[in-house]
Amino acid sequence: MATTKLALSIESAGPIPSVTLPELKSAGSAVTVLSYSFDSATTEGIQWQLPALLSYGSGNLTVKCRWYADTATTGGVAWGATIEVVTPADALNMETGPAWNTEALTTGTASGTAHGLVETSCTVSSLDSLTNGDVVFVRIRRKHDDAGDDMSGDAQLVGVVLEYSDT
Amino acid sequence: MAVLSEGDRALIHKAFMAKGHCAPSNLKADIRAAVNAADDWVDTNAASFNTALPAAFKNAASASQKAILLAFCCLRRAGINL
Repeated sequence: MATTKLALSIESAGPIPSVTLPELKSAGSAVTVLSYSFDSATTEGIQWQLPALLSYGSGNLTVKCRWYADTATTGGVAWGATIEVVTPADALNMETGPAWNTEALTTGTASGTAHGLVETSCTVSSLDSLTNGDVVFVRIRRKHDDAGDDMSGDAQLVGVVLEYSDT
Repeated sequence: MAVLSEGDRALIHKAFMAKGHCAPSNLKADIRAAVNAADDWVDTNAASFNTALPAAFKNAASASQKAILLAFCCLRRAGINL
């Protein structure tokens, strides 16, 4: 039994219908750091489209959000993760059928270091009958209006790591 | 003149945070409390500010223009280019 880890880059993320897309930020003086700026007063989100989830065995997905606070050194950010799954030959209209499953919400705490990187894990248990090789859409949102989301300023998402068991 | 509406204060709150002006130790609620206090102060001192203006401007300018004047002075004090 092993844990499969899949890195989802900022560059491969895309917009979600009817959800505000966060601004893309490029920062750094020696190394360019790309991130999506998730607003503190508007729910914003991005998604990834995985043409096939490989080496998936069973169990929940762990969605790890790697982020840093734009201005704060305290406070919480409520990250929401969810998926939508399509199996080839499903009786589903690909352009109108897919819909997000129940979101997993986790509050992460800003680093005490200015622009310090932290990782917040969301456990996605609403799996929509996920099987190995399925098309999987992954959505990440900042739920600004959640009670745990009290951090001022933007949350800069630099990437996501998707983890799951191969057995 | 009355204080700003809840919607306007929320707009200021949102814009202030979005522009990255927050102190690192301030939470959302701290910023919002400051927005409320700042607007309350402006409302309380509006008449005093008006009295301080020279007659030519005071008698010719609208309330909106007077508010913009004050805003420009404050923005420049903050080092923001106009």
